Amino acid sequence: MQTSSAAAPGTSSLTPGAAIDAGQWRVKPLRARISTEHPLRRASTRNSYLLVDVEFTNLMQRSSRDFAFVVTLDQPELARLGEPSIVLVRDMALPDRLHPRMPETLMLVWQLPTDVTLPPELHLSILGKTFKAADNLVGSPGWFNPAPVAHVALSLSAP
Amino acid sequence: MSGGAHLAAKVAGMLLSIGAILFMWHTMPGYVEITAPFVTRGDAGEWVHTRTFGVRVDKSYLSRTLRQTSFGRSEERTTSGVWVIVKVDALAVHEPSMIGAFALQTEDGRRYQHTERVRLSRKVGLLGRELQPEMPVAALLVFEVPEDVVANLMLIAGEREIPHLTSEAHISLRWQSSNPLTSIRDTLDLGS
Repeated sequence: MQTSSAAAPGTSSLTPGAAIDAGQWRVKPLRARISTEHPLRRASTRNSYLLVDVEFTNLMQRSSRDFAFVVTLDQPELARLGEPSIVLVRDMALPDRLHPRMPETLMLVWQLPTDVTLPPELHLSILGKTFKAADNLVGSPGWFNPAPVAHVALSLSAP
Repeated sequence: MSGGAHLAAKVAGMLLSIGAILFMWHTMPGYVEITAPFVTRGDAGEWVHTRTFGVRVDKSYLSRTLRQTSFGRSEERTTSGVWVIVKVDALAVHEPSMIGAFALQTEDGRRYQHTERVRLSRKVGLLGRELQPEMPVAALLVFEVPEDVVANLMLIAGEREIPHLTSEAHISLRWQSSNPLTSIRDTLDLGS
């Protein structure tokens, strides 16, 4: 598997199915595919969707739903896809908080505009936040400043 | 006093002030400690009263799968660990109040907050339910936890998710058998 050429210094390249500890989460990108069906919507022949499966494990001491920022699309031509909706694969429903040390697969879903042609390989960044024991406002602990920690290339398969 | 001694006294005074400031800076309790919740501890089976609410842990159950009927459709919810269902009684103290946050805490301090993967009606759950003084109501609390932490769990019931200066009850769960994993049911029906 070829790794992303866009890997910035200080970040590592992941192979699909390998996990990396990115601060709050252990992140394992699994697969990417294109589908005509949205897992939460009624079937329609007009739309198509980009689906990316990623396994998340909460490494914090608390249940948390701070996972929406973690996986982003790298390729500039895909920037206009915007933010994905997130589905908990176990329930095929909107996700709840993820609990410490209980891995779950989340599906990221981007609706594809009709005039977008997808590249054969999808380049993703995995972002992690940094823990601060005392923030600058009141001095309470928290996770801040998301920054890329790894890159991964997933081949895109049709349904 | 000679000029040298005067300077030495000044320097010593300054060092002392800096030392005092550093000492206070390092020993001052952090925001989280200053605004820590007011904790009342108790055992399963007895009423534990905080300033605003009281709660009593009745029984706890373990299950691999939960079944629930929502909008006329039967739904099953699985988990990578095990479901913990805690039966409690709750009431308000002095004036109407709510219990807005529940979690199970493991021995090493990990907190598993109540699940939202099953939606309990206000007749069964406690979230969003107003409690009245001296009027206990029964309710179910549902959590998912890894199997290896089941033996030692503590229920944490608090007024709000953000616990600054709120009341919290900490109650250790009690299991009938010494190895609770032997009593895991396959399915538990939560009704509709």
